[in-house]
Order: sequence, then structure tokens, then C-alpha cells
Amino acid sequence: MNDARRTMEKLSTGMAGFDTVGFGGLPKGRSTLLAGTAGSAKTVFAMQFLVKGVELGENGVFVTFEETPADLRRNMLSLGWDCARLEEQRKLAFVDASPRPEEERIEAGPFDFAALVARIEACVRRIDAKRVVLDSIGAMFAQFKDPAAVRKELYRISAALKALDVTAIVTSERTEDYGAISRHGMEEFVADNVVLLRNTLEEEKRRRTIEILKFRGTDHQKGEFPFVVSDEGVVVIPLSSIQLRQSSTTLRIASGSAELDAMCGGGFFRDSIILCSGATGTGKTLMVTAFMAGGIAKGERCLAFCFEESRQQFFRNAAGWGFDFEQLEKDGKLKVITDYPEIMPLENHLIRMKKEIEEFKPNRVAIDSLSALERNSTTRSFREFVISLTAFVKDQEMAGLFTSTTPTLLGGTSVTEAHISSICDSIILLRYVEVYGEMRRALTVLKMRGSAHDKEIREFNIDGTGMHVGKAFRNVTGILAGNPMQLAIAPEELERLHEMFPND
Amino acid sequence: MTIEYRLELFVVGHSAKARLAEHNLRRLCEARLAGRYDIQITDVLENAEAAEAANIVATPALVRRAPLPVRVVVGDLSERIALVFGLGLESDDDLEGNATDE
Repeated sequence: MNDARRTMEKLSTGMAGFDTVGFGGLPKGRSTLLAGTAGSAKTVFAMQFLVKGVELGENGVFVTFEETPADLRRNMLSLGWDCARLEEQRKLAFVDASPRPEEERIEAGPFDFAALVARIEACVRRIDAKRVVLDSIGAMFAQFKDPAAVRKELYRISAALKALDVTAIVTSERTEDYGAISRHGMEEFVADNVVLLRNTLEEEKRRRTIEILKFRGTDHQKGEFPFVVSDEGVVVIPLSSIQLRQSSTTLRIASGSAELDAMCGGGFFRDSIILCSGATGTGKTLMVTAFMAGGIAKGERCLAFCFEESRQQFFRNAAGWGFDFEQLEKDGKLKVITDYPEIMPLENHLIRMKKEIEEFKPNRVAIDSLSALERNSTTRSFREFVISLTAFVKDQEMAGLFTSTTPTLLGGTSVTEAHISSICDSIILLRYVEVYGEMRRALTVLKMRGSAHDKEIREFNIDGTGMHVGKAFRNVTGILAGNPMQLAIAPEELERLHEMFPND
Repeated sequence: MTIEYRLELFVVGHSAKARLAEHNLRRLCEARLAGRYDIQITDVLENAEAAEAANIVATPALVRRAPLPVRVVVGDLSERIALVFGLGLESDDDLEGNATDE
């Protein structure tokens, strides 16, 4: 990478995710074409650019060709942006170039946009603006007859913006998410920098992405990045910025079960992600409950996201095992968030979970279960979600316990595990074992990164006091394959065989 | 005689287009509305607020303030027929018509 290219001046948009993807923001003092289909959040993105600019001490001018300023003020209020107040403070100003339907307009000879340019210039000078938005220039083609004349006049605006030394976003409508950049050949208008917003339908799910197609003379991340429109506006999720970091501590934390701690070589590591996989009813939620209770007992703060049970169910189960989670939550030591996965897209769940984690600052976080969230997403978004979330959790120096439900009662893995198993540090398997006409539970620590661990498949019991890890299954084989077989060999013989190959 | 037609012509600076528009407008008004019209010329460079209030994007732009409804004619006003219709003078346009069409 050439250093000069990367150090070329960028303007922070104030939108954290976008600045990461753009290696610092938008090229400063230039215009960027922001193209997208109808409903791809162009206007919200553009307005956010100005509102965030005000927060950074840079005033902005919004030139609107489509919606009236009154409509924009009203629409933006729902995102918490009070345009009218910013206008009073002379930090934001509108240049209204929207059509007035009550006025009849006739063309009678050649014209130019010198008046519009003069208005923009006057407005920029009046409030000393550093940022300008033109939204959306495609509307000018509907207002005037001759597209060639409009295009020529848009060049005039482009040149004027350059001379004003402002950083501008020019929005333009596209007819399809994958095709010509813009409807009226507008890429030539501001060819320097092009950003695309997409809103595609994938496996019946809406997926919004942003792509920086080009920044002339300076670098940026390539490819599409998911984003959401939340109650705070556009939030870009910059996946590839996530760096693979090794667990930085050897600090152990209690899992909530002394027996399991012993199996793990003294407990889980603090900055680690533990995946607990098992069929329905094998005790995953109990693992979560014990994990939370174990943390609270050591004075840690715990946050649980439950997507399979209601709060009442979760609290009732915990009470059944002797934990008063309701009281702990009142004491502020625990926070339990329950939701249906279907209430919002996965990307929004991610943003919300990050926000909750940042606000509550827990030492431990649990998700029960990842598979429930997977129901509500495409394979690709789910993979991005898992990578982004695990990186975030590790970054915060927290321990995370995620559960995953296997689709079959015996043995089995789920797609969830295929995505996460290489990312997480420890894997605990909970399995059913059929022994002489009886269903019993088995537990094994499959993986424990950076530590020796017990490799036996042990019996796992749940009773009124919680979970208990017992002895290893000595005379059953094929548990993990989902095909348990009783061995004819006498248990004593097996014990002897076992002693011939001692554990490391 | 009372002023029936209140017209405002928005221009930017003293460009050829601006002068041509003013010339075309005055010629038509003298021919058709002698004594019944008032023309105000507004230079956007000197009065951006007025352009802002009238939502002027393209210039030259002729705004017919009276009679109502407000009408806007954009361009250098060289297309005479369009200007006549824009001002709403087509009803007494008996002689000129197509002869001066371009």
C-alpha cells in the first residue's frame, strides 16, 4: 500500500461504520455520487452526513430537488434530527429546488442553472457551510424537457461546488440494484467518487448493503457491507475491519459448575467465546443460567439475550434451580432481554445487542440461542452476524456463552456450528444417549483453546439443584455420531483398557 | 389605466441571455399590454433571498405575479408562442400566431 494514497485527506462523516469502510471518510473537498434504488436510504444517509457534520462543528446545506423542506423536517424528526432547531442555530440550511405543483411552468427558450448556483453559493457563505447535499439530481430531469441541457447545467453545479471547497454528497436514483450506476448517465457528473446503496431481496429477506465503488486517488475497502437503518439513522457494519485477535489473558472464570470447571482445566478463559451445542432439552438453557449465576456469585455483571423463551419462563426455570433472577435483575447485577428473532432483521439485532452490551457493560454475555436467530436470516447475513458479534464480545474483554440447537435428537450438528466452531474458543457438546431403553444426557468438552481439558464423554444430570456432571460413559460408543451402541465388553475390562492409554 | 400584469424577471448578472430575455419581454409587453404592465428585474447575485422565496432554479425566469394564478416562464423568452401562453395572452393572439413561430 502506497502511504501517500492512504494519507490523502478524508473528511470524517461522523458515521463510524462508514468511516471505517472509507478509510477515514469521504474524500475532502470533493463531490461523491450516492446512487441507489428507491427506498435505499439515500436521503437518510445524506441528511445524517449533515447532522453528524454539525456535531463535528461543520455546518451543512441541503439542496432538495424532490421533497419539500417541510416534508424533510418532518421525516427526519422520526430519527431524532431536529432540522428546524439546527436551522435556527444557523448550522443547517435548506435550498429549496423542489417543484411547486401549484405553479404552472413553461419553457420558452434556452436557460441555465446560474440562479441555483448563486443560491447555493449564497447559502454556503451565509452559514459558512463545509458540507453540501444535493438530493436527488435525477428529479431535475423530470422538471425540465431537455436532458442534455440539464446534464450540462449539472456540470455547472459540480464546478461551483469544487470552487466552494465543500465536501458534497450528490444523490441519484438507480432503476436496479445491479446495473447502470445511475439513471441519466450521472456518473459523469461526479465521476471522482461513487458510493452505491443497495436494498435487495435475498431468500425473501431484505438486505441492505453499501459499497464504495471508487474514490479517485485514494483507497477504501472493497465490496458490499451490510447496513441498517435504525432509530439513529444509517449504521454500517464494517466486517473486514474486524481483526483476528488472540485471547490476551489466561485468567480463568467459573462456569457455574465446579465439575465443568474441572473438566475445562480450571474454568473458562475470560476473553473467550464458548459454544454450547445440543438438542432440545439437553440443558443448554441451564448452562446459560448456571453461567450467569456463577458470574454474579463472583460479583460480575451478566447480560443474557434469550430468543427461545419468555422472561417469565426463563425466570421460572432459574427459580426452579434456586436462582432468584428477578431480584438480581432489580439489583442491577443481571439483565435479561427476551425477544422473538422475527421482530427485526438480524443486522438490527446485531446493532441492538452491541448497544445493550455497551450500555450495560457486562462481564459475561449469553445468547440462547444462536440457532433461533439463524431462522430469521440468510446464510450470508448469519455468518456476518456471528463474526461481527464474536469479534465485538472478545474486544470488550468479556466471556460469551452462545448456545446452538441441533436439529436431531441424537448426534448431529447445525449450520450454526459450521459458521461459529472455528471462531469460538471452546465447544461443549450436550447429547442424548439411549442406554437400555432410557434417554440419558451426555456432556463433553470438544475443544478448549489454549488449555488441556477432560476428553471423556460424561453423564450429565439435571435435578432440582441444577446440573451435575458425573462419570464417563464406559460401555457406550458412538454417542457423538448419534448412533450409541452398548459394548459387550465388561466395564472392568474397559477400565483396564482406558488405563493403558492415560489422558494427557 | 390600471396595472393588470405584474411581472418579475429573475436574471443572473448581465449575461447575453439575461439581456435577450429582458428585450423579448419588453417587446411583447409593449405590443400587447402597453400601459397595463409593470416589469421588475431581479438580479439573483444581488438578491439571493428573493430567488429563494420564489424558488427560482433556472434563469432567466419570468414570474407572473398578477393576475393569479402565479405562472413561471423559464428561458430567454425567445420562443414567442410559449411566452404568449405563459403570460396567458393567447386569447387575444389573433394576428401574430404562427407567423412569428420559430
